[in-house]
Amino acid sequence: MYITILVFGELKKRINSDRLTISTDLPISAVELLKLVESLKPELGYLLKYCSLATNGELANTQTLIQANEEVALLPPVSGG
Amino acid sequence: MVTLTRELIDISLLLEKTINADCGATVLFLGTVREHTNLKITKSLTYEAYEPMALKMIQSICDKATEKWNIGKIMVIHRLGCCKPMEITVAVITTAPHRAEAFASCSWVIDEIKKTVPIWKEELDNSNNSVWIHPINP
Repeated sequence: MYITILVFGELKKRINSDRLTISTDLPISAVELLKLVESLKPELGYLLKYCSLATNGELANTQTLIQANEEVALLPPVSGG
Repeated sequence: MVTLTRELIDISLLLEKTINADCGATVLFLGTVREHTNLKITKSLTYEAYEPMALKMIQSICDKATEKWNIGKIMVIHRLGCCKPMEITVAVITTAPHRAEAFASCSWVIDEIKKTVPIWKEELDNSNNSVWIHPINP
C-alpha cells in the first residue's frame, strides 16, 4: 500500500514537496516507518534523526502502529514563538 | 481562545477581549521579529504550522495552565506566513485575580508553546539567504 507523509520546514525544502508518498505494508510501526523513510530519502539527512512522527494529529511513540488511511506527519524540531 | 492567523495581530482587540472584572492582573507576552542578532540582520521570519495539531496542542497547554493556576481568561494567537521586523509573531495573555498567577501562567504557556507545538520559522537575512530554524539538542 501507499502511505502519504506530510513534511514541514527544512524537510520540505530538501524534497521540494510538502509530502512524500512511499510504498509499504501496513500496519507499520513508527520506528520502522522512520527507517524506511531514511533509506528511501537520504536527502533528508541528519535532521531525520531529530524528527517525530504524528498520526492523526497525535505524537506517535516508536511502537505506535500506523494504519491505512491515517494522516501521518513528519515533524522536525519546532521553532514557534 | 486559541488562534493561528495570517493577519497582523491587534493587541488592543486582544486586551479588550481578555480584561475582565474578576481579574485584577492581566499579563501580555508578545514575541516580535528581532531584526538584529549580533552582526546578522533579519529581513523576515516566515511561519508555518501543522495547523490542526498546533491548535489542539496550544488548547491543551491552555487547559493545563488553567488546572495549574487560578487564572481567569487565557488567549494565544500565533502568526503564520511572512512577518517583518518588529511585527508581533505570537501573543499570550493570561488574566488572574492576582499578578503572581498571571505572570507564572503566561511564562509557562509561552515556554510550552516554544518547546512542543508544531510551528516552524524560516529566517531570511539581508543577503537573501533563507534558513529553516530547527533547534537540535544533541
